[in-house]
Amino acid sequence: MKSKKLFSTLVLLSVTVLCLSSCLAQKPVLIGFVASLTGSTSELGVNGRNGLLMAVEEVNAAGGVNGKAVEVVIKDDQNNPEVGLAVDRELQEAGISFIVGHMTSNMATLSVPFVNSQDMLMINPTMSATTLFGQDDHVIGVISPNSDQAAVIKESMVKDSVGKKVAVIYESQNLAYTKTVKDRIAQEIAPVGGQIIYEEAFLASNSTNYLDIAKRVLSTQSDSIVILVSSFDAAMFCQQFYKLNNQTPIYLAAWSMNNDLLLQGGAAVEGVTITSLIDLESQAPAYMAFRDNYLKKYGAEPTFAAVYTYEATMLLLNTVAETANPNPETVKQAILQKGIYPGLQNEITIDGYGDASRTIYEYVVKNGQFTKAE
Amino acid sequence: MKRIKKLRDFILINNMLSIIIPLILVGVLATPIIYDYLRKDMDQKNTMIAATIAQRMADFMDDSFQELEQINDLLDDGTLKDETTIQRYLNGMLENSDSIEGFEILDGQGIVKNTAPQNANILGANRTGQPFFTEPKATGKPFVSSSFISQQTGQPTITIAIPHGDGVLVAYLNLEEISMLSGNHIRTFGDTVTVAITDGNGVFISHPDITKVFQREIEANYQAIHPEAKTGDQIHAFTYEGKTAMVSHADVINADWHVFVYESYDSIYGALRSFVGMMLLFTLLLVLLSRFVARLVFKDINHSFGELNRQTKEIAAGDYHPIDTDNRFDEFDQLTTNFNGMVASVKERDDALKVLAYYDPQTRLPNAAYLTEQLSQLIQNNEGKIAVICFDIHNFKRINDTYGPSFGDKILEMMGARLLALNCAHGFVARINGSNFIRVLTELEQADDALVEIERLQGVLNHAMTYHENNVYLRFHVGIAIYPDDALDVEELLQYANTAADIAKQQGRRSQHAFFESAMKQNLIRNMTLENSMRSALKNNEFFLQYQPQIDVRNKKIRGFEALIRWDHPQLGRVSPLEFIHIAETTGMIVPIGAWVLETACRQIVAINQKMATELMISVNVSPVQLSQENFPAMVAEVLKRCKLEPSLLELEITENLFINSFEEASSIFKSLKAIGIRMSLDDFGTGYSSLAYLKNLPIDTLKIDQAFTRDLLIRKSNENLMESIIMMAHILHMDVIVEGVEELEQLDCLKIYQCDHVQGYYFSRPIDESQLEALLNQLIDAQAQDLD
Repeated sequence: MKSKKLFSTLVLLSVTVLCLSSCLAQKPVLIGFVASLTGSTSELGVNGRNGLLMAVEEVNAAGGVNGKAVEVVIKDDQNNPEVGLAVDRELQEAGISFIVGHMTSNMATLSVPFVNSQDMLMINPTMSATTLFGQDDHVIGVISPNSDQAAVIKESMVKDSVGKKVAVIYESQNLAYTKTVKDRIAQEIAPVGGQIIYEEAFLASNSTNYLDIAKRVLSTQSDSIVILVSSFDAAMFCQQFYKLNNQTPIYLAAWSMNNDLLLQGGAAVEGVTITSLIDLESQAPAYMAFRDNYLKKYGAEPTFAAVYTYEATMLLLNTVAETANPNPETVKQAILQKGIYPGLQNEITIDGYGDASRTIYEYVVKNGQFTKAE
Repeated sequence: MKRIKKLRDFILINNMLSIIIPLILVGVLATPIIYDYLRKDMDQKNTMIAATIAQRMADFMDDSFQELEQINDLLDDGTLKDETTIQRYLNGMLENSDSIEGFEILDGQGIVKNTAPQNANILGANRTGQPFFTEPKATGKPFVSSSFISQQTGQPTITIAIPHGDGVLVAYLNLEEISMLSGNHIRTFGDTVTVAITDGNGVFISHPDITKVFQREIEANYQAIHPEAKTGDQIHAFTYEGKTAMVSHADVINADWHVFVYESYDSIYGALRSFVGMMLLFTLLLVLLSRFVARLVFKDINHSFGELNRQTKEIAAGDYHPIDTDNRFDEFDQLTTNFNGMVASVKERDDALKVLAYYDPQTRLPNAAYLTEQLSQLIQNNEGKIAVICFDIHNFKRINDTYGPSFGDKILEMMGARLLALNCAHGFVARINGSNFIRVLTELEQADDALVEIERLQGVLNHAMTYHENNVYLRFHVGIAIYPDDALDVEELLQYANTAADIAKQQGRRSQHAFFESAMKQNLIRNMTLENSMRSALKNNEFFLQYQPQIDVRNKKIRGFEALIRWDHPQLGRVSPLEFIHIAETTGMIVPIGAWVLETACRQIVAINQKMATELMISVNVSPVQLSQENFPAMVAEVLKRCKLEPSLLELEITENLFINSFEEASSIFKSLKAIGIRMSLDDFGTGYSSLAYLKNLPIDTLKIDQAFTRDLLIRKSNENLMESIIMMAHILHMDVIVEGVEELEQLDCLKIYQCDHVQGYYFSRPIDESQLEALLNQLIDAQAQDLD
């Protein structure tokens, strides 16, 4: 009799403990991350993921979001819109409503309409295609529109007093980005008499003949060359121009602003002007700390992709933490309502459409380093 | 209060606990040890695996460097002297290598001089931004890059480089190939472990999940594991995809690479589970076995207990037999032996107690308890007629008084011996108390059979008892009650036999035995009624006095009166003093009754004397019981004082019975009474012992000769002579003589001749009531006057 009583007490106790522990163990906050993580364009995505992971680690180390741990489901869109859509759908089906991504503008064509059609919110770190701007959609961006980059390139040209003939090489897979920048440059330089005299789109692959394109561009005798490609492709083009002893000033857009450019470019990228979305010499404490941690963890300087993805993730997680009943709509409204957010280097202003406005910098490669232009 | 448990449960539970507790303790102690051992073992094994893989990787790197060295040597010794041979050679090497996917030969300015496979884009490119150019050139040492995505293959790649002249030789290694290579090695260690390789930043170079390599994922716990890699034996455990895994590691010596071997704790838990399972199973089996064995053992114990229990129950019920069990335990044998010892001593004591309880120590005959028990048994068995013969030694007290109590005891002892020697068949003889014996005679055919037995008994007991040269002849009065004729139960039988014996005693020498008759029973009832109503009788004035005059023989002058008590019982009517005085003496009521008589008589005589101007005496009978009261003389003096009666006018009549108890005592009482000044009279002289010693030594004033003498006076001449002698003797002793029972003139005349002093009897007057006193006095005075005339 006595032992029976003891046994039932034990059973009851263990059941209670199990119940309590399962009740106390809170469900984690799940977010998705989508970017191109494999292939030749994966540099941007991998850097972005590194930035994201740093943000998540920081939040979790500080106790998570309202005591709940943050978990990330990472998907590779392979820089292919079809794949991008498929992984977005996978995340949606997994019950994930918040996505950080994608990172190249060409992904927006399928992914953004999908996200808009769902009860989801996408925080866009680096897609800067102007088509994404001015829309009341389910996308909040922390990046300025690429038209801003075009304006900076034009300013650089004006400052450098280069001639009016401009040749443009642009990548055709990410036309959403490259073409808009190219068109914007054309618009920007037109008032000052500038003109794109030659333009060539190319599809990045291992069989790309960079040398031939370079030769063709040089043959136009343009006053300046604008290359709107990824960092690796930019380095490859620069190598060709280097081999051809080119003296024409080269202008790169922010897409190329990666370590890869310096690694692959070597002396060939020396003197190249490039638009930067971040201030590499920033002394902002937040950035300094971030940079230290990043260097320690990944053994490399943080790129704009890492900085912007970190900022995008922080923006999302902080707002989720501050929102009473966090769902895509309430979080979106909270972000829009607040409007100004502290970035790592400077404030991020987000307008009513969820579009950001950031400071853009002009850099020149000098002695194998990115150096802020005078 | 201590809880009473069942021995069986107690043994079973303790047995079980004695198995379970040590096993649980062993389990509790062993589990962490085993756990720790398994962990260390796993870590050792996995560290070994990591070291093996690291060694293989180092070998692989060595091989790859070897190839670069080979190219270097060939370039240096001029074997590869022109572009064509170089290109051919490099292409050939690429074809033969699984992991190397490209070569570059850089000159001192970092310009790509040769590339394999051939690539116009790269040829002539500037590699000064690449660490694989700057590092070896600066350090002169081989270099291994971190991983990157090859633009040629789109796959994760690393570069290795060695200095060559003032330039550098570079090889591109495909990480997927490296992963596959390490994967092949790993497979030989079974599928419980996972092996990964990271570069110096923790980025995966090799992992079974190749996407981690493709996406250049960082080992999540790299920072935690790696810095401590050199500190030694700490075991790292981290959670991967919800499962805790142990991480062992080793460094690849010729590259900043690190091999990690993961093994889920599941395998440890599995091993522990099976250990715990085995323990539990073992415990369960032992418990079952112990229960089985305990049951077997307990079966024997139970048998022994049961037997012991059963037999002790029988003993407790009074059957004192030795316990006999066929148990298998020494302790039980000891217990049984002890118990048997106890039983034996209890039985012995019981027998001794029985002797004490059932036998009279003096006579060694059965006692009253035995008699009662046996007789009820006999009655219960209903084995025909039973005679209960009560025989009582006549005047045993006198023997005691005369020869001392030890003599009496000796007499009883001898009696017992004689009776025992008689070997009474059909029943037994018991001593009830004092001098009272009972012979129970069974299988009686007729009542008179008892007489035969009585004769037999008397035949034995009538012989003289001799002790210390004193011979004593015993006389018995015997009463017989017959079952079932007279009574059906023991008490009544004994009572009736006693009653019959009393009757026999009362009948005196005339008959030595009496059968109980129903009249005796009536008598008993009557006596009981009298006894019960006596107390209230005094209060209710049921007693009254009659007075009989005592007349002077010579002048017929009245001497005084004897006060005689009478009882007018409301139901029974007049009750004779012969009946109730005896009862009053036994109950002690004689004391208050006697006091009442004394005071009433004294008051009466004072009243008469005053009224009639006479000096009449009053005689009052006193019982020996009254006299034995310590304060009796004082009481008498008090009464005299209260009634204002001259002491010399009071005469207390006592009987010879007074002296039976103690002459000395009687003598002292006599003296005290005489001291008051009253007269003492010895009543009923001639019926008792009529001891001349009493007469001589006691201050007796008056001798009252019993009426039995008066009755026989005229019948025989010898009686006259006896009377004359007694009167003469009394006169010689200066005693006044009163003869009782004078009913005829002849008797009076005769007594006149013998010079008797006073007479008392019907001739002059019956005892009369108080109211008649005056008239009688007047009448007697008149008669006296006539006589004188």
